[in-house]
Amino acid sequence: MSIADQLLAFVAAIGQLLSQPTLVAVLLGSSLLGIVFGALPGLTATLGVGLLTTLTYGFDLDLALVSLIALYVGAIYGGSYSAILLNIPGTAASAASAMDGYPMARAGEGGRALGLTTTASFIGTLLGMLALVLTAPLIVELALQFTSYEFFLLALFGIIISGSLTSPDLVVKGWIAGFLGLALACIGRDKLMYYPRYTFDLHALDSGIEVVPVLIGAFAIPQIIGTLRSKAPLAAVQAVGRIIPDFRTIARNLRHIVRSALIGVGIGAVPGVGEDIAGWVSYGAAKNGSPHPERFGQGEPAGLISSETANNACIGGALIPLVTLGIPGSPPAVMLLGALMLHGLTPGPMLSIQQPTFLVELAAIMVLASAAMWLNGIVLARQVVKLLRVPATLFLPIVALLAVLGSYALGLNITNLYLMVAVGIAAYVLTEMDYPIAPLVIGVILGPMADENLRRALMVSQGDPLDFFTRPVSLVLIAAILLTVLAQVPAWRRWRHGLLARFRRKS
Amino acid sequence: MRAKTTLALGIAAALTATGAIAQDYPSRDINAVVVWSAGGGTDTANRLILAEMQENLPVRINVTNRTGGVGGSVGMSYVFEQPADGYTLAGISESVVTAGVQGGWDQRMDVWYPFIIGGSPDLVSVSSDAPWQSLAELVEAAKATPGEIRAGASAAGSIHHLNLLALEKGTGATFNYIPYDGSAPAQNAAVAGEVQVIVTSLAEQQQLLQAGRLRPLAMLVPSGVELNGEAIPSAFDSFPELSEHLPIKQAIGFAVLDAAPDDVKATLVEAFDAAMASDKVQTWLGENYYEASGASGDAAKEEFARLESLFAWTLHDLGAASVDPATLDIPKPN
Amino acid sequence: MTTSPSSATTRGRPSDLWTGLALLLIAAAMAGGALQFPLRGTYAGVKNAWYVSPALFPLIVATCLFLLAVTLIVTTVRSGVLADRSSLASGLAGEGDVVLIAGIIAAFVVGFVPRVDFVVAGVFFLLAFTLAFHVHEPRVAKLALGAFFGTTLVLLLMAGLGLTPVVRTAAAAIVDATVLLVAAVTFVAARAMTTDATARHRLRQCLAVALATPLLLGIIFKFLLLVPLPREGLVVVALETVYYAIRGAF
Repeated sequence: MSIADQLLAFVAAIGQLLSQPTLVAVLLGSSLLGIVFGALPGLTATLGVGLLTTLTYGFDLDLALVSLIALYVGAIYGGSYSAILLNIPGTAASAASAMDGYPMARAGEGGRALGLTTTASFIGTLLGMLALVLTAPLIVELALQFTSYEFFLLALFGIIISGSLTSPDLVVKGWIAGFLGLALACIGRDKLMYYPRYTFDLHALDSGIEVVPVLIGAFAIPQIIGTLRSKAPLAAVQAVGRIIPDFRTIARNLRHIVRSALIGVGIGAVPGVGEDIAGWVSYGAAKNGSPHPERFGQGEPAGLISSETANNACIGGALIPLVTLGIPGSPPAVMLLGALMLHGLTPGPMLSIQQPTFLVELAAIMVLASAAMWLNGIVLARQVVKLLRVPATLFLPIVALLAVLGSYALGLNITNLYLMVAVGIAAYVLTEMDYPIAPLVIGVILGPMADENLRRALMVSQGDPLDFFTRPVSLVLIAAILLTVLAQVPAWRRWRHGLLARFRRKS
Repeated sequence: MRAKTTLALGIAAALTATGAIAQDYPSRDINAVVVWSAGGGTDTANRLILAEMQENLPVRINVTNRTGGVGGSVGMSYVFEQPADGYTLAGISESVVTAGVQGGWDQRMDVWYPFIIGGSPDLVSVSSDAPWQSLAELVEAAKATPGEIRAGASAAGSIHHLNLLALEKGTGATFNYIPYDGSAPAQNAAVAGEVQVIVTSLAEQQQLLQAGRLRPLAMLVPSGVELNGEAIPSAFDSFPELSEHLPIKQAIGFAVLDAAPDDVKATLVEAFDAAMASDKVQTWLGENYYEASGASGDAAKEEFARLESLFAWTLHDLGAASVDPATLDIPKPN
Repeated sequence: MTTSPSSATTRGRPSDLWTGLALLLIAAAMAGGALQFPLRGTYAGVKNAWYVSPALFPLIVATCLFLLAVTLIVTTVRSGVLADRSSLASGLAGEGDVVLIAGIIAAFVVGFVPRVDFVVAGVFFLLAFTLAFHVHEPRVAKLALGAFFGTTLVLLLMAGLGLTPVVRTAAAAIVDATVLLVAAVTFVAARAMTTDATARHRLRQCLAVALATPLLLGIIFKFLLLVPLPREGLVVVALETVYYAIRGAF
């Protein structure tokens, strides 16, 4: 099919989908359900897609697909609500959004922050969709270059970022929190030999430390204790600010949006790595590339936009290997693959032969899903902000109950509740001593990936670390890591600043 | 007092509900607990069969995932602790038989009354740029350089690892086994060339085979398979000794507690048989290269007992079992 | 420490010395544990060498943690905050509220969630939590917390004696009902303690939140999101009966 044919088919597909009232209702409903799933701590996109898989079993394929994609898009976006308003990310994907979103909310810009994330997520989803339709064959080749070496370097890159999320007092504290996270990640059976490490013969620890309860504990408990103790209000609610996205800020941050979308698509396309890592990597890249890294963490819109664009762009990226090779690119995409197979559709190379129009239909559905998300978001944000008017002494106990239920929901495992409380109390103590808590969560997410892939890479090269330097993608990642490390060295920053200033004067 | 009235009503309702259990089975929704994570092979197959089964039952079957522990022990322990009334099912696969010897729980497979949907046969493939065109060539190369050729499979003690071990035993070749956290990353590594040889199931590999990213060498079951018009021979053709060690086949399905009443089991068997016979399930199994089983009751119990003994003793021999299978009274495989 | 984080110095604080030492211990313990793992030799059919050992990564992490802890200690000692007598008093001074909030949540998770119907447990938890913090009456707070922690102790004692009843039995329903009754009595007693209108109003808010939230969450999770609740006893079973009655009617 030529581009013009495809465009025509695409417009026709959108028209055809929109002409069915049931479908539009399912679209809006699933999108809303997705946002709720994302916003409630512990309910993730994966769990949501899993639920809908069962519920949409009787639907025909179009309707099921609309419902699943709309929920996926909504859930990745919805996590930003609780991140911004409460500093409790609803999903790991939006943990980076709390870094600047919550300070904005505290400064009375909660409405603006929600408006910005809504639009950033919308644009991110669309850019991801474009990448899926236009460059899928190219990206999938790149993604398949990822072997154990690259996976390890990617994990290392994420860990290095934790050092840049500095604490208010000592830089070293960011690193300490990050390594504490990595230490936690060592608990459980190792992924290669199944050897039990630090399990103290407790079977509950065999499967290791799960990310979701750590995330909830690390963010929610310090917030509950801290706010109730200081008897301070949750955020400045008097000035909610405009919800309607301010397009001027969006336009000013266009380069952040484009870069974040590229990062999101790339990370999404790499099998097994998903939205949670995309958000952090994009945030780190934005901070390190910014002339004002010190503004990040203080309510910098660019930080919020970067993480939210990337995690939604990740969706399109994750679908690329799924549609072309049948390899899901992210955890929710794994569930999506299962759902598609139940409907008798096996994504992979044969799909473009059996159903040539599938990709175009998928693109149309993604456009509709992001539009539904945007609409829902704009309507919902105004109402959600009002929640902050509930007195903290009533609201936070409810949040505590939600945190408990959320930690339970994903694995249905009581041990996760104990983990959540233990991590939460430890996190509170650390926060009180000015340790940043985000690196700890990054450590828990990336620890197993770094561990497993480092050892396997050495296994493949028979212990020779030089192999890391002979692969193209490897080298790119090593360069990125070096730049990130250098960006944290004051002398390098001064030198680069001087260079930039001279360059500006000349032009 | 309003509180007291509510309380009294609540207790009354609860007692009625407890009484309701004694009525015809099933009278309320059945909860199926898949012990592996959402979206995997066990999860997908269970969601399909249970959705078809609820067409023949007056209630719904809700599928949840309860992962963790070793060999799905967290999910199995949960179901084991529930009343044996047939309202909680466990979605399991052959890999759960290792939970006992790996110290996940202290029960054997005989506490279950299993239903086996089927499984996809394992095969050995190589990267598309690897030099070997047949299993014989590969074995010859592996014998020439023992332990040099890298073979990927999911983690130590998994079914694919056991298939790889059996392949080594039956052919005399030795590979450098590189473990992965699941079949999908192992296959991706084979595509990227990190490992040259890969052992996973046909269902998992089929898309990559059809895309030409992997080259199939031989099925690790007695009969060959035709994929897109191309025949994949059985490894048994060139290495008949393999029949002593193989096949080790997947057994994906679900189970109810063996202690459940007979009428409950009978109802489930009836619904299961009807679902297995349905067009939708048959088509799905065929399209995804599953071999249908449909075994339930004693036949399925026997199959799980065989797998349990095989897996437990293999792990024990590898030194990777934390509990001696003898202490669990697991017989040695014959 | 009642000041906000903005009072943080840029050179650390005395407590950093203690956390630094604690981290040294953690790192040492971690490395010690890792040395017990198989370092060489074949394990589980995987050809083992130093670089394949399960101990490799923990050792790297432990070493880094150790070095970071040393850096932290050196920075703190050098910065001279230790000499600053006035700052010594700061640090993590034990504050009642912190222990209390952590205690309420921990008691709920350890004592109630595994043993009592989730809705019943949630009602008592929210009632105690909000009565303690929202009403601003020390006597009410004391009563609510006393009842809550007391019930926790009884539940744990029962569990210790192996008396926790199997879920969905009459005995379990009686335990659930008793807990609900204790919560109701606590509320009635709290009401009797308060006289002024504001406190009464707040008391009503607490009750509304404590009753509505767990019930709504329970219904949403169980019947809409199909997420089973941690323990499904008295109220959940009652909800099920209603749910099937409604579904059966259509």
